[in-house]
Amino acid sequence: MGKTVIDAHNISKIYDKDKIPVYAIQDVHLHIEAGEFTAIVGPSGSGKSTLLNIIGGLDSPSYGNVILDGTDITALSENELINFRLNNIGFVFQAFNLVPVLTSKENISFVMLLQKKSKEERNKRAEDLLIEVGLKDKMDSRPGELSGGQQQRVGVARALASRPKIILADEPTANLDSVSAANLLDLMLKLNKEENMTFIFSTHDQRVIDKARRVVTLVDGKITSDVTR
Amino acid sequence: MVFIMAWRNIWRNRTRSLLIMFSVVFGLWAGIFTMAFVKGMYDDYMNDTIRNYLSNIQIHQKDFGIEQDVTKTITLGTEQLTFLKDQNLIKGFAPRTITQVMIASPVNALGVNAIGVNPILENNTTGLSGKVISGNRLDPTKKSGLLISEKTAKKLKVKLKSKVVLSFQDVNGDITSATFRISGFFKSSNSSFDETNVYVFADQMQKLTGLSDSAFHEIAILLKDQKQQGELMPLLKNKFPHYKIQVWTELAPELDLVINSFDLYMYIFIGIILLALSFGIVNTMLMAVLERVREIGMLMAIGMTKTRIFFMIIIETVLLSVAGSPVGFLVSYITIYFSGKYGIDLSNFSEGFSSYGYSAIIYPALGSDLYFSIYIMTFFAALLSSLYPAYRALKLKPVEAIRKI
Repeated sequence: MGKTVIDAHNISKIYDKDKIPVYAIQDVHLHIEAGEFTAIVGPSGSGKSTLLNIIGGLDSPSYGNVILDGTDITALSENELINFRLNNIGFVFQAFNLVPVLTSKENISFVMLLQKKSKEERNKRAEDLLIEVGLKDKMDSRPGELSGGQQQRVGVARALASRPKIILADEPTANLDSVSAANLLDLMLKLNKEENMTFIFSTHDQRVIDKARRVVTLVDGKITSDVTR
Repeated sequence: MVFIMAWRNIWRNRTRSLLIMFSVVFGLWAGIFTMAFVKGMYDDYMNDTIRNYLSNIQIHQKDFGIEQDVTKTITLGTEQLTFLKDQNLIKGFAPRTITQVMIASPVNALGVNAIGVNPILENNTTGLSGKVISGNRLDPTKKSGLLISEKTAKKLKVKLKSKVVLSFQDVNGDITSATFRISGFFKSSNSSFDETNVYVFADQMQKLTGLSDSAFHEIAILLKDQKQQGELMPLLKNKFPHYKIQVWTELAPELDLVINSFDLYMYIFIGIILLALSFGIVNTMLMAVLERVREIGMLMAIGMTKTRIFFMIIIETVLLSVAGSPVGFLVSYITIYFSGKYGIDLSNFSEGFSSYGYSAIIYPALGSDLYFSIYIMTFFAALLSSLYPAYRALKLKPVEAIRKI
C-alpha cells in the first residue's frame, strides 16, 4: 500500500442548513493513496465539484474533516490554507483559467514566484515544464495565441510548477476536441506514471474514465461505487 | 511580476484605460493651469499694489492712523535723506504728504486724498510719470500742478487745464482752500485707487498746510529685492527709532491674507478635481475587478494570498491613475510657460479687472513646489481610489469566484 495523501472523513456539505437543508455531499469517506489516478464520476449535480473543492481546500465541509498528507486542512486558517494549496495542490481548471496578460512561461513562473523561488529556478522549471508538455515553441505566447489544447497543457504545467503532491482537475477535457483531450490524457498518465503524482479529476468523458485506474461514482452526494481496476 | 501583471492588466481594455488617462491629463491640466492663472493674477495684483503705491516698506508717525491727522508728520532731514540714498538695498524711496481734501469744480465736489510728492523721487519709486496718460507730468521745475484720474475728471466734469479748488485742514485746524490747474490725467491698474487719490507737489502742500519743508506724512520705500526686507528693517528702525515702520504685509493685511490663503484655496480646488477624477477611477477599476472575478478566484485558488491580490489591485489602480499624470504635468508646464511668457490678454474685461486692481494681461505662474505637491496629491487620490476596488476583490471567495475548480 502507498502512502495516504487524502483522507476524507465523513464529510458533508449542506446548503441552507437552517431552512431546508440541501446536501451537496453526504457522509463521504474517501481514502486516496499517493500515485493514484482517480476519476470522480457522476451525473450533473451529484456533488463531484463540491467534493473536489473540499478536497482542494477551496470550500469547507459542513461536517467532517479532510486530511491531506497528514494535515487537517479543515482546521487551517484562510491564509494557512492558501499557503497549503500553494505548496501541496495543483489545480487544472475546466476553462483553463490562465492569466491572459502573462505568457505561457510567465503563467507557470507566477506560481513559483508566489513560492518565493529564485528567478533562475523559476525560469528553468517553467522552461522544463513547457518542454515536457510539448510547448517549447510557445513559451512567449499569451493564452489568447494558443489553442484550447495548448492552453490546457500550460494549465497542467502550471499545476505542476509548485511540485504539488496532488493534482486536482475539474473536467479537464470538457472544453477540448478529441485529439487534444487524448493528448492531455496521455500527458497526465505519463506524469502519473513517471513522477508518481496523484491525480484526481471529475469527469463525464468516457475516454478519461476508461483510462482511470480508480473510479469513484457519486450520486446525490453519496458514493455509490468505488472501483479500482 | 505582480507589477508587470498590473501594468498589462491596464491595457486589457485599451479604450477604457486611455479614457481614464485622458481624464487625468485633462483634469490635472485644468486644475494646474487654473492655479497658475489665479496665482499669476494674485502675483500681478500684489506686485502692482507694491509698485504703484504701497511699496515694500512705509514709515509713518506712530499716531498717523486712519484719521490721517495732518499734524502727525515725520521729519526727513538731510541726514535721513542721505541715509536712504546710500542704502544699496533700496531701489527708490518717496516721501509724501497725505491730505484729505475736498476737490471741487464748478459743478461737483468729491472727497479724495491729495498725495503730495516729490516728482523725481516718486517717479523712481512708483513710476508716476508712466501713469500719466494725457496732459503733462508733474514737472519738477514748476511748483504747481495736479494729476487726477479721468474718472475723477468725469465726475467733476472738468478737462485738462481746468481749475479746481482743493479745500483741507491746515496744521492749525483751519480750513484752507487753494486753486489748482489740472496738469494731467493719470491711470494706474487699480481704478478704485485712481478715483480716490490725486497727486500734487509735496512742497506746495507743505506750504498750504503750514508744514515745514522736511515734514512728511509718509515715506514709501521700494526694495530691489523683496526678500531683503528683513535685512533693511533693523537699519531703518535704528535710523527712525520714533516712527512706525511697517512692511507691506502689515500695511495691507487683506492682501497678505489673500496671498497666503492662495495655496490653501488651490489645494482645495485641486482636491475637488482629484476627487471627481477618483470617482471615475473607482468606477473603472471596479469594472475591471468584476470582469475578472473568475481570474482573481483562480489566483486565490493557486495560492495568491488576499494581501497580494489587494496590492495587485492597488498597484493597478495607482498605475492607471498616475500614468497619465506626467503628460498632464508636461502639458500644464508648457501651457503655463508660454502663457506666462507672452501673457493672456483680457483687455475686453479690463474695466472689471481694473476695478479690483488687477491688470488686463495675466501672466500665469506656478512654483515647482506646487507641481510636486500636486503630484503627491494625485498619488494619494489614486491610492484612495484603489481601496474600494481592492476591498471588493478581497471579498471574493475563490470557490464562488471560479464556481468550481
